[in-house]
Amino acid sequence: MAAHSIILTLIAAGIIGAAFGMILAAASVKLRVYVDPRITAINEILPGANCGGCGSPGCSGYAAAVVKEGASPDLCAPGGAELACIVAEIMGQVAQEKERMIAVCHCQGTRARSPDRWTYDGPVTCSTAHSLHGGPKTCIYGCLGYGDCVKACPFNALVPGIDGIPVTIPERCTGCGACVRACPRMLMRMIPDKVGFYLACMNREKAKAAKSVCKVACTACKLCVKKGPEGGNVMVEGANLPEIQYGVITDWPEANEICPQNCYVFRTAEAASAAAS
Amino acid sequence: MAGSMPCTFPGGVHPKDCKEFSREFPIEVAPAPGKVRVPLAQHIGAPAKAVVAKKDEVKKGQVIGEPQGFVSAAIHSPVSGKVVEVKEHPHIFGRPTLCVVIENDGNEEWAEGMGGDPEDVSALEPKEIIDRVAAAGIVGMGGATFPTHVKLSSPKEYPIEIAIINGVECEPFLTSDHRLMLEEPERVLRGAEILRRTVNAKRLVIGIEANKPDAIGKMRDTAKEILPDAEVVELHVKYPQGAEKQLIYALTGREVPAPRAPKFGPYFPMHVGALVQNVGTAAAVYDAVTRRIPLIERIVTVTGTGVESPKNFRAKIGTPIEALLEAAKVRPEANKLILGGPMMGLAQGSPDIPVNKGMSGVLVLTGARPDVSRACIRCGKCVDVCSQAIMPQTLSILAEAERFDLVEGYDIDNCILCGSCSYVCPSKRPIVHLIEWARGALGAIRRKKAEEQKV
Repeated sequence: MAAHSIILTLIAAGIIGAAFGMILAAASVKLRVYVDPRITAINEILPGANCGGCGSPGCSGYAAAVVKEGASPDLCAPGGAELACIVAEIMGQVAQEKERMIAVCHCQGTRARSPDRWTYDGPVTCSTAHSLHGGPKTCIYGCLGYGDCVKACPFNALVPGIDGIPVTIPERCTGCGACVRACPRMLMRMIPDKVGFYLACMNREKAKAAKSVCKVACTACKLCVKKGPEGGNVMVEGANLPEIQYGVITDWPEANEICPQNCYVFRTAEAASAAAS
Repeated sequence: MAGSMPCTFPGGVHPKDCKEFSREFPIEVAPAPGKVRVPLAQHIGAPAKAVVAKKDEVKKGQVIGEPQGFVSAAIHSPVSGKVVEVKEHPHIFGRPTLCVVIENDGNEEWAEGMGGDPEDVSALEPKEIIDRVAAAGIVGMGGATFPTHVKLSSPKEYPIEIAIINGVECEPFLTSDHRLMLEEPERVLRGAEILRRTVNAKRLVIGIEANKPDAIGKMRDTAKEILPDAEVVELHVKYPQGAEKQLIYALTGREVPAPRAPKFGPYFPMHVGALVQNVGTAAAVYDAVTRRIPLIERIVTVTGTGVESPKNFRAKIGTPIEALLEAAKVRPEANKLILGGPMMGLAQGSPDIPVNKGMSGVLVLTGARPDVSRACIRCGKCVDVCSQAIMPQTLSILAEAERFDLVEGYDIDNCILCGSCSYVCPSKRPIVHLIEWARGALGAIRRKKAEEQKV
């Protein structure tokens, strides 16, 4: 009796399995969704970090956007020029040479230079601190140092330095822009990797007000515009800040000899390796 | 009697009430400020629009800010003098707000038709009363600053059965409502009667926490004389007993549904037939309806371990906090300033903030030090004390992970920001701060969605 029911069960299960198998086989043919093989191909070679730097939701979203919406093949910052070539090849296009960009913090106002006005005692994020009277730091434009950018970086390219001000490790930075979107004060900005210096201040106040909140604040004295390399710096209207024209100059080691506030930061190999270690 | 009267509510905490610092000191008029800085956003709803400009002469009580829309409130000049500027200045909420700065000429000259003797208003139509309340710019003075005329104009399908006057004052340290009930019970009760008549409620109940026996006695005696059918109810001492929904539950046994309960929300106290007004609001309503006096001053308790002589001030709206602190003599070792009570008040980095309509206290503390917040250990204490029956720990964890898409499902809209969860948290987590932050982010997501739907 026992053996009989076992055999019966096996036969019944076998028949049911075969029937459903046939239904599934038919469905897989009939209900097939066509996926462009190029989407799959591009998706496979993308880094898979889902950093969102391209503007699409994740890597698969970008792959679909390239094929279906004709998004540019060179938007993937982590993949760089090499990946752009392959994507362009898959799409039958020719990739354009794109400059490698990295993100750096445009502030060097440590607590010794711009002390705290009061003690902040809330959740340890820049965005919550920033929403309370502009944060504890005297300079309301300066880096708060609670590391929203460090947390946002999918490649561990940012490390907190003195008083939490982030230091970029250039080799790891892919220029995806996740930190740029995370910073509530818009201090993380992109610069070309090839340049050797940048202006590390975003204080938009006029001379006296800027000087009173930070020892290394840009006072908008315009000396860099007047005395620096011709066309290298241009004042931004209404912002009380100069903007370096990286198309004109890429390096200017004497910048801080001109700048009375020592606002310029130079990218040296030692600084980068110190941050990496 | 409709419903039972539990006299308390589920959940809640028992912080030390610390009222002994300031409760013995009678209300005194704050020193006249040389300049007042009146913010145009002192209420829930749209900020008022400035109707005066630099160099304008204004009289005391003159409208300087017109309400923008129905849920908004008018702003009046608390002094007579000259407008110095209309400019953005720091405000209690942490963002600069447009303020009207007026130089006080010290003449205290009332605008036309204001500040006369009280007139008899027993024959006044409810509509006229609501208009007068709206014209006076009255908002909830317990701290929430919801425009009072909006609360009074509940639609016909929700008849108000019970008018509740909130004299609970459950926040530790604060004694402004306590002193008001002791010193001016008549104003409060007459204002309460006007409120009750406006919404045509059968019952008028004044709820006071049991830690103020003198105020309960005084209110009962006065009520016996001028308003025999008003009930003065002694409530259990527990925080947040003075929160609107908790007070309604304590007095009627009715629960106001969640603000975004599925399908039917949002819900307000009127949906359970209740109207709740603070004692300070009731007193302001009395002045506004009988003497046409707008809301230009309020009682502010200046207290805490950081002041030498705690005081209860009657201060003009727009008075700089610095002036009050000077009069109360701040100790040199004081290191924390909170506007409001210690549970729900807003800590400030500088005293450069004016008194506003919802500010019941200025708290100065010594020996405050920042807490080191640690990870949630899932002990569930915050769930036990949450009087709104939500899960603060989950919300705080979601906020930290920036999962603002999930917080709505955990009833973040239910939170009344009472701070009981942060008070009991053994990991010293800033739970309320995280919830408030997540709520702001959720609001931004909702606005974005609504805009997308429009397009």
